[in-house]
Amino acid sequence: MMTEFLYEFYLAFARFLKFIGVYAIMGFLSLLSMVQIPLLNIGDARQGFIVAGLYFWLIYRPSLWPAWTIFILGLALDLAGSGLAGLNALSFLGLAMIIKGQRRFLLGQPWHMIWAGFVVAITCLQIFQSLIFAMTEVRLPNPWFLAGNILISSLFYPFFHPLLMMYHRYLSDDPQD
Amino acid sequence: MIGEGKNHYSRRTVSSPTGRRNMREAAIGAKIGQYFPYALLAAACVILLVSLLHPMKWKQARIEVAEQISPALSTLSLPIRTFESWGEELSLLTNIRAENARLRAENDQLKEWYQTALLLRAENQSLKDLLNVLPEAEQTYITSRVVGDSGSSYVKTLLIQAGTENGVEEGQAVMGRHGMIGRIIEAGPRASRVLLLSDINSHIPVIIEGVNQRAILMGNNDDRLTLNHYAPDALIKKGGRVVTSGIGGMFPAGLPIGEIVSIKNGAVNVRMLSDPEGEDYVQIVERPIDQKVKESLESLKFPPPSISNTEASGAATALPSPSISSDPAHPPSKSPAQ
Repeated sequence: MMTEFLYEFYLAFARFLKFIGVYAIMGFLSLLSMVQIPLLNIGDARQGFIVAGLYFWLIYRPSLWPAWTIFILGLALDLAGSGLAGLNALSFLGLAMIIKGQRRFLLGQPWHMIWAGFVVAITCLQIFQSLIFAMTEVRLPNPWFLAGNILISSLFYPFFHPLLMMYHRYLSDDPQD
Repeated sequence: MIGEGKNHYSRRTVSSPTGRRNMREAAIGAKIGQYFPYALLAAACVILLVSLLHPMKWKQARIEVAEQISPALSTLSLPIRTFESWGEELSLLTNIRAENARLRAENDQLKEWYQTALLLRAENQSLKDLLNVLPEAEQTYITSRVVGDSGSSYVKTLLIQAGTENGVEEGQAVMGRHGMIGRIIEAGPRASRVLLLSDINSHIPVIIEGVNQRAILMGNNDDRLTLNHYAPDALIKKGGRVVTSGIGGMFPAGLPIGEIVSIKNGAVNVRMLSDPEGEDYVQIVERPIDQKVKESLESLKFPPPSISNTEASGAATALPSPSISSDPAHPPSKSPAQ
């Protein structure tokens, strides 16, 4: 009886840890976007790390990312990054609504189509944030700089996709198996 | 079969009053769930507006968040730094002969400069003595590691692992390897944020060496800075060094910042001497305090141990509590030991 209970508890705990891992991955990506990486000199394109994670989980595990979690993630990033408070929260929420609307289409697509979707997502996000900053600073952003950021951010996705897909498959496996 | 069972179950729940209540609650829940993301969008808009109108509103929250994430960022940056140092060592090993020759030549040059500097220092000192110039307060620094940055294209900040517990204060100048890179804008107990000179919100008073022309150095969210508010007839030349003017008392005068690299249609561009993006460690310039003021502050912080508790309490009742007053008519009271 006790052994059975312990086994059930172990299974439940293992399942809980597996799902907590999704948030841990996003936390890690968020921190990674704030660490200086001098070797690659990718500087400002690091926002792509978080967007890549968010984009992937919103397609494959949307139930794990209700609106309030995205809001908290965005706000935490705003406060950690000393930018305009609420900007990431607003842009991530908007992005999440669009991705959730398109996820049925994206789920059936090969990975390069999903990558193309990511390029669209990061482009929209960067342009939106640039426009907000252009309005607040009364100054147009450098288009080459913006294009460079979008390009570098887009190039990250193929590195993250297989790793996140592995974890997604691991989540689908039951610990009992 | 499974489908039929489900239909039967749903029909049964709808027909009972409890089931109907459940259905109604579920419908309300679904409706709330449907509009909840829009409510959050509206909340984000409100936060954004508040942040635009009152940028200091989130300062405390930012300090708290920086305080919490700085240890994690420090740990995460450790392997990156290790890889970086390996790469540097590898490139050094491959170029060791050329590097050695370059350093020898540089050393010879520096020895000459050292002799010149000694002569100039002696001359400078004798001239100061002749003019009876008041000695400047000694400059002290706090060295700290950089643990992270804003991670955004539109905000140029650094997060450092030193705070008020280490003597860091808001407004202090921050130096890189070769020159000033920014100033402290938020100081928590163990972590602080540096606004880089390249940030669009950075405006500092500077002076162009040689021509002694005052100006304001502004950031562009770019690696080049712009000089503004200088006299139209100023003789600004390419290669001129830009240093802090010390006007306003915010920073000490003479901190090197950069050099003028181009002058096009009246726009003067300055390249920073230190690349803030590549700095692992920074030095925070402590505000110079007069030695006498420092001593009196120290004595106020730590009461002399010779006074016993009863004596101290008696003194406290007899004398007003020690305070620093800026009013010359009411000078700060001295402790009994003084």
